[in-house]
Amino acid sequence: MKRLFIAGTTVLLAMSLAACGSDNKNEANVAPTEPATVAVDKPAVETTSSEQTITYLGKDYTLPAQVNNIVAASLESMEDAAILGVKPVGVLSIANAIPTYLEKELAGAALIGDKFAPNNEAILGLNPDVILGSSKFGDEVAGALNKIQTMIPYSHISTNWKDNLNLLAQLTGKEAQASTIIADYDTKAAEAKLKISESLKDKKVVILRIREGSICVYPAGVYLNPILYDDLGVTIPDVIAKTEAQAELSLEGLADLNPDYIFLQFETSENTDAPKALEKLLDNAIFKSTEAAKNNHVFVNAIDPLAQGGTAWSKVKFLDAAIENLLK
Amino acid sequence: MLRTNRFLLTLFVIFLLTFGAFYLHITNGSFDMSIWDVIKTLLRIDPNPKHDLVIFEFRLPRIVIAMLVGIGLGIAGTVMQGVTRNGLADPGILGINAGAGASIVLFLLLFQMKAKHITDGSWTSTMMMPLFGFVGGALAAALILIFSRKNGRMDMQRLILTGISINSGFGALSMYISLKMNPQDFEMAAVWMVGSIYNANWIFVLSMLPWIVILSVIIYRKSHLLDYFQLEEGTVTSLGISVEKEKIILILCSVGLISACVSVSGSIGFIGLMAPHIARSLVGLRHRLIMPVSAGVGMFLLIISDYISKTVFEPSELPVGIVVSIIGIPYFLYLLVKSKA
Repeated sequence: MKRLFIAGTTVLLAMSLAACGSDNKNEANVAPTEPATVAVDKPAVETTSSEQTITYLGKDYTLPAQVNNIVAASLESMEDAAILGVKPVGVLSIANAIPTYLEKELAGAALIGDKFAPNNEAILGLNPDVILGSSKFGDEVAGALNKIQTMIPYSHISTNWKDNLNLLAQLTGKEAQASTIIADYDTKAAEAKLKISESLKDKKVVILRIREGSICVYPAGVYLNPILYDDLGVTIPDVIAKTEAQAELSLEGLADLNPDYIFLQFETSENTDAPKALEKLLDNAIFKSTEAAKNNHVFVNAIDPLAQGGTAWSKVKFLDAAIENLLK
Repeated sequence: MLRTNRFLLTLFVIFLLTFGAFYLHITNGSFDMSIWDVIKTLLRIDPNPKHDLVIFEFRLPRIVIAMLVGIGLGIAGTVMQGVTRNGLADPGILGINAGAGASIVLFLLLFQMKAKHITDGSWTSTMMMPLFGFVGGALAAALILIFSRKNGRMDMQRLILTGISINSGFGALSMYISLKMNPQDFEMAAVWMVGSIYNANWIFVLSMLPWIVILSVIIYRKSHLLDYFQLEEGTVTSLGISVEKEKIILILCSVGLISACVSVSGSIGFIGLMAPHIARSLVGLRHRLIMPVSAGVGMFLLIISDYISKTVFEPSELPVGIVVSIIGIPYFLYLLVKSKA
C-alpha cells in the first residue's frame, strides 16, 4: 500500500518534471516564430478575394492567387519539381532525409514525413499555398490534408506525365520551361524510335524491378514501360502485354521469356528483407542463361532505382539511358 | 476494506498517469504550439483556426482513439486470459486480431471502391467495418476453440500453437487480399495492417464508441464469472453456471471489442497480454477489480506508445503497433520464463 503510493508519487513527480522541461522548450521554440505566423496570416486573408482556379485532369481546384509555398507530398511531384527547378518548402523523406537522388535539387526543403504517413502538423507549420499529394492517398489522408490547404492528387499514372509537369509549371509560372522539356523529349524519342525500330526488330526488351526480393514486371502503360514500348516503339513482349498490375515474374517465367535486353532496377530500401537479392539474381544460372546476360545486355540501375518512372524527370533520364544502352 | 482502498488508489494512480500521458501527447507535435496555446484552444479563448486544426482534428482524435483501443484491448485480453485460464493468451497472439483484420481487408477490397461513388459513402463504410471485422474475429475464435480442444478440455499448449497458426494464416490472407487492391486502398491498408492510429479522425471514434461502451458494460457485469472459471470445470458446473454458454457469450463480446479496435487501428498486439498481468499484480485475483484496472492500464500504455511513435522519428511516424511490440515482446518472454519456473 505504502510502496504503491510512493511509487505512484515518484512517477508523477518525474512526469511533471519532464513536462516542465518540454514546456520551456516549446515556449522557446514558439516565441520567435509567432510574429512570422501572424505576418503570413494577414495577407492570406486579403488575397482570399483573388483566388485562382486550376483545372487538372478534368477537376477544378481552388488555390490562393499567389502560390509561394508548395508542399510536395509525393515522389512524383518531387521529381517534377527537381527537373523544373522549383523549390518546394516541404518534401517527403526516405529514412528521415531527402531522397538522395533528388538531394541537390531539393536541398533546403523541410521534411514532412514518409509517403505512407505524411505528417499533418509539419505540413501545416509550413503554411502551404498548395499541397501536391498523390492519387494513391486513401480517403483519410486526403481528407486531413485538404483541411490544411487544397491538396491536388498528383497522378501516379505514367501517361499523365505531361499534365503533371504542366500543372506544376502553371503554379510556378514556368510554362515555357515545361514546354521545352516536353518538346525536347518528344523530338529525341522520335529520332531514336526510327533507329531502334530497325535495329531492335524482333528483340525482346524488358524492365525488371526487384522488390522485397522478387522480380516484378509492370503492364505496358505503367512505371518506365511507356518509354520503351510507346515512345521508342519496342515490341511489347507477351508477358508484359498480359500483365495487369505489378506482378511477380518467376525465374522460369524469365527463362521462358528469354529477353535480349534487361533493365534491372534494384533499390536497397525496397528490399530490406533481401539485401542480397541483386547479387543472387545476377549470379543465378537461369538468369545467366538468358540472351541478355550472355551478350552483356543487362543494365543495372540505368537510372536511380527510386525514380518513380512516370514523371518528366524519370522519362528524360531513362530515355537517355535507354538510347545509350540499346543503340551502342 | 483494505482491498477496495487499494483498488481505488490504483485507479487514481492510473488516472494520473493517463492524464500525464494525455498532457505529453496533446502538447507535443511537429507544429509548434505553447502550452498556453493548447489550453486557450481547448477553452475556446480567442480561437485560431490553425491551432483548432492541430488540436481538434489532428491530436485529440488520435488520443481518443488510443484511449478507446487501449480500453478495448485491455478488457478483451482479461477475458481471453480468464476464459482460457492461460496467462499467455492475448487476442494478438491467438490470431483473433488477424482474423478480424483479414475480413476487414476483404471488406475494403469488395466495398470500398463502390462506396466511394455514393455521396458520404466513406462514412457508412467506416461504420460497417467493425461489423465485418466481427465475422472474421468470431471465425478465428471458433477455429481456435475447436482445434485446441482435446478430450473435451481446452489444452493450453494446443491453444497457443493453434493461435500461432491461425495468426499467420490470416496474416497471409490479408497480405494476399491487399495485393489485389487498387493503389489508394493498398496504401491505406499497408499503414493500417502494421497497427497505426495515424489516420485517426472523429468518424473512427464514432464508429467504435458504441461497441466499446456496450460490450465493456456487458463484460463487466459478467466479470465475476471469470473468477469461477479459474476452478475446475466440473466444480463450476455444479455451482449452477452454464459454463459453455457463458464462456461463448464472454468470448463473443471480447471478439466484438477486438473487431472494433482492429477496424480502426489495425492489429496492435501485446496490450491485451500486458494490461491484465499488470492489473493482476496490482489488485489481486478478483476479475471485478482486474477488469477496470486492466482497461486503465491498456489506455495508459497505448497513449504513451502513440506519443513515442509520433515523436521518436519526427516528422516521420513509427506505427504504434511496432512501439507496442518493442515493449511487449520482452514482457512476453519474461512471462514465459516466469511461468516455466
